[in-house]
Amino acid sequence: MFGNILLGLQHLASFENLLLVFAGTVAGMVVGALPGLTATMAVALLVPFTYAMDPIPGLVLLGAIYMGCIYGGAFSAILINTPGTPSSIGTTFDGYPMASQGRGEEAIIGATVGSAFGGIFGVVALIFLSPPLAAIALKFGPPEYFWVGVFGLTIISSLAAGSFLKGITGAAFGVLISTIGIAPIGGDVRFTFGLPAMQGGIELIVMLIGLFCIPELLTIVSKGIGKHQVVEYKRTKGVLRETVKKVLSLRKNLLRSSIIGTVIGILPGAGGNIANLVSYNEARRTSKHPEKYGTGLIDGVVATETANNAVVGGGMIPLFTLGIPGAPPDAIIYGVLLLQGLRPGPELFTTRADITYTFMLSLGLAAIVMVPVGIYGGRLLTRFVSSLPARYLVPGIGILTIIGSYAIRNNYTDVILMLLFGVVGYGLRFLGFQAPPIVLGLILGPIMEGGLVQAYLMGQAYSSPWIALFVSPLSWILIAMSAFSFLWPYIGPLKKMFQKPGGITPGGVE
Amino acid sequence: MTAKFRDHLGSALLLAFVAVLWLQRDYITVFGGIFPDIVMEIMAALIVLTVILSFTPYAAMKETEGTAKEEGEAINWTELAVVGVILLAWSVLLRTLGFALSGVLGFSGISWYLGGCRWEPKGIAWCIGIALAVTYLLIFVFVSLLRVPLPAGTIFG
Amino acid sequence: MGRNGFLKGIVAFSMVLATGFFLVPAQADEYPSKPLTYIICFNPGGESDITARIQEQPLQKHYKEGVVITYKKGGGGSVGWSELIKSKADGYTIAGDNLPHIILQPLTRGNAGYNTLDLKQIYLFESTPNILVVRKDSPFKSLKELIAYAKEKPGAMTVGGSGSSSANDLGTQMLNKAAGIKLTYIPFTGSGAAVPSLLGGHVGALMTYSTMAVRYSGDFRPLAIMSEERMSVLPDVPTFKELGFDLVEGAYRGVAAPPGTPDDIVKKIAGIFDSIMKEPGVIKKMDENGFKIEKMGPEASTAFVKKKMAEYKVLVEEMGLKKK
Repeated sequence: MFGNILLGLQHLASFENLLLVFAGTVAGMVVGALPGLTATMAVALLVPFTYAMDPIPGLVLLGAIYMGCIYGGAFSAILINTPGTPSSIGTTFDGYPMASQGRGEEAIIGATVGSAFGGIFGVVALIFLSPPLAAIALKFGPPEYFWVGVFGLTIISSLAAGSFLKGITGAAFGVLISTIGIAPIGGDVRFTFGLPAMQGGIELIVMLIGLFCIPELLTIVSKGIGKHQVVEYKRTKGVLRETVKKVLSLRKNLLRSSIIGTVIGILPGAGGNIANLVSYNEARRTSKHPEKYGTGLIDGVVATETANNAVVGGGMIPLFTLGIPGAPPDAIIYGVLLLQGLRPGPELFTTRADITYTFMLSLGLAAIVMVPVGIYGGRLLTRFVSSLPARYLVPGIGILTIIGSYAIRNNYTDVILMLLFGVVGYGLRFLGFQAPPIVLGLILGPIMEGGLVQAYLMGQAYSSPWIALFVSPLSWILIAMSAFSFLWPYIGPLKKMFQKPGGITPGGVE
Repeated sequence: MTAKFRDHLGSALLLAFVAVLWLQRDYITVFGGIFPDIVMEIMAALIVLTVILSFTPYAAMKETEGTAKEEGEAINWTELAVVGVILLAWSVLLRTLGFALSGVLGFSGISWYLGGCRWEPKGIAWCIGIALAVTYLLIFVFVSLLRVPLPAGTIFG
Repeated sequence: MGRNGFLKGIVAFSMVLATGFFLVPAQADEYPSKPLTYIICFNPGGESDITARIQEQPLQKHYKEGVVITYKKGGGGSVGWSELIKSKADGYTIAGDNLPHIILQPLTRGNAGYNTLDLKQIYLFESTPNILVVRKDSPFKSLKELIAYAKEKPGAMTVGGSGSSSANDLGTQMLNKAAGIKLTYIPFTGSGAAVPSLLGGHVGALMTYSTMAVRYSGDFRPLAIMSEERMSVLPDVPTFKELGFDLVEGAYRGVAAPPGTPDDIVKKIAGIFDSIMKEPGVIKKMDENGFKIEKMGPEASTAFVKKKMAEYKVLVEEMGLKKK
């Protein structure tokens, strides 16, 4: 294996490949930063360019774009509260508050270091741990996916600033919206209000832009143009070194987030969209000061960005070993592999090792390249955005949101839906319903529904079909995890209740 | 608006949403309906629970976070409405006018309204100029570089 | 002119700029003289996408102005197709279309946004027959054994596939009817999603497309294929016909144009695709990946669609899938 790694390094060290890694990463970052353009789109758009290339340069380019894109989403999440890609939803929780306090540069540095760390970690797992990790992916069938969805929902306790009850209601709202369109099982046409255009359902990006970006936009307007402060960019010396040191000291956070990202990346269909949220939840849960999360704590940004870049490497594990894409961009890369005549499986690691190892190493290199580009570019970008007066900021964000919501499906209805959700989101926020639980519901709804109904069908052999949900040991582990995650916030108060002096202790009265 | 009123308003609106969906139920197969029905029932139960709790001190306590910042800050309704209408018109006209034209109009419209252009040729030219520059830069990036088609406008054939 | 005129000039100038950017030059040239927009109504990475990618380079030779592949997914393709029928019928916008989708959707959904015959068939270029596979370590070594097991335990045998009311679904129902058994069909979102469920042992078998059987030939054991004859890339797989079941079904893919596209232009496009499908490089890639090349021009494909419409109408009534 180490011979192959050396071989890969040799190939990578060619001028062409190095240039491609650099160009791809930068291009990916730009695309990722634009709200509405996802990593999947970016990779898909560049596939035609790879035809003229040999397999190695072509794959290197696509990989670099993918890695750069996932990182790039952090920029718009931090600066305008709009996740540039769905994998950066969690970055808005602490990133945007930091930017509003004039600490945007800190946030970007945190995101950069985290993304690089996570990216490299994912690649290392890909190179060294592919076979055993891939086997885990296969153990997840419909019942397990359902419980993964349920587990995902328990995260709401850390997302809902305010009422937990409203958070769950918001999630239910999101789940219901995800059912609009064609049912995954049975093909029923549901809740389309009689319009064929609604058969495609509500696209995640459209809702993201609508719920995260438009309310912020409207808030800027509603505060009155005169009052929109141009946030003072505090150019303090040594911010860079200090922040980098601080982030690198968050060892547990970095490691844990990377693991979460890699593991979730392995699950086909779960994808990077939830990895960042699960990681945020875990970081908050294990922190000594959970209440600081959401106010602008760099730990939050690090947790989300590390996890989502680890997904890049993690998602390729089942792709290379089993031919099962772990995330949507992997499906496209799979198509490219097939067109080049490369078959997933042990063959990729042995006879075609030159291509495979070069590709994997190039992903790691892309993660490293992100650091200088991101920090330098991020600095410029932060300064630029914070110095824009409202009369340019508002239409500027407006035009970007319109492009973003149109471009995802080339659909005019999506643009109007985006605005509609924006207004609804603004109103709901006012009424106490935050955006993150709703979006979480939208993401997890299809996963849960698919798992639930497929498991029901699988259970036809049992006396009650629902038994299928509880059969496998993995299901039990997931159920336990969900219960634990759900009850965790209440364990503290519960313990206190039992410790009250003179109170009723189990087993007897004083 | 008191917290209690907010709770009730929110609950009423969401319940109305659930009702609208519930009335549209028209499943051909069993499978199409299992999941949405369960979720709608759960959601309705949660809404009812919220309303019940709103009459107890328990709920009021939880409401203090997050909404406090909305209080005590005057909301500029007219500006909000105008920008909202411009955005809406922009997205509706996107199809007929095409991205370039609607983009320039929309951008300069909002920019002018928010106080960007003075009523003299130089100011207005500046205003429209920036709108033009931004719009065409984006068209260049998306259509030429990324090959993502942006609406061309039906009036242009 | 003064200040007012200056202002008007700016406004006029910007309007002209905006207009001119998208103004179409006068059409004096022969077809093709503009870029081709090839709409894929599914996700990137799927079968339709892969086929389009295989065709893209050869297409560029014919369309010198360029070929733009765009994605319009949603509703299992219905969103893309309902957009297509409203597009300009000048022959520069086409979409990949799939049977049985374009027939079953309007039939079962009441209003899918389009009617099957609105899509003007240009060419059907490939098909992927249904194939029944089990895992290599499965106890079933032949179709007979699987059917015997299913007879013993109705409903217990789970068969995964791509989508509901799709070729995989239809194939399973048709097998149920022909063999008098009750296989439980479990739909997954896309053929790619069904594969891990078989590999992980969550379902007993897959009714999937020939492309999947080729891709995972190391892990799967195909039991039978629903084509007229054996496929050259899967020579050891008997057809259902050979085994006594007259079942021929699969997904067919082609391209369609908006209604009202002039017939001679449709013929030209069909000619272009025909020559592409005859190129050795294309043939090789299609065969390798498990696609069966069909070569049905405008008349042949329209007739085929009509034939299938009649067939499916009966099936849908029987299976009770129609929206009331």
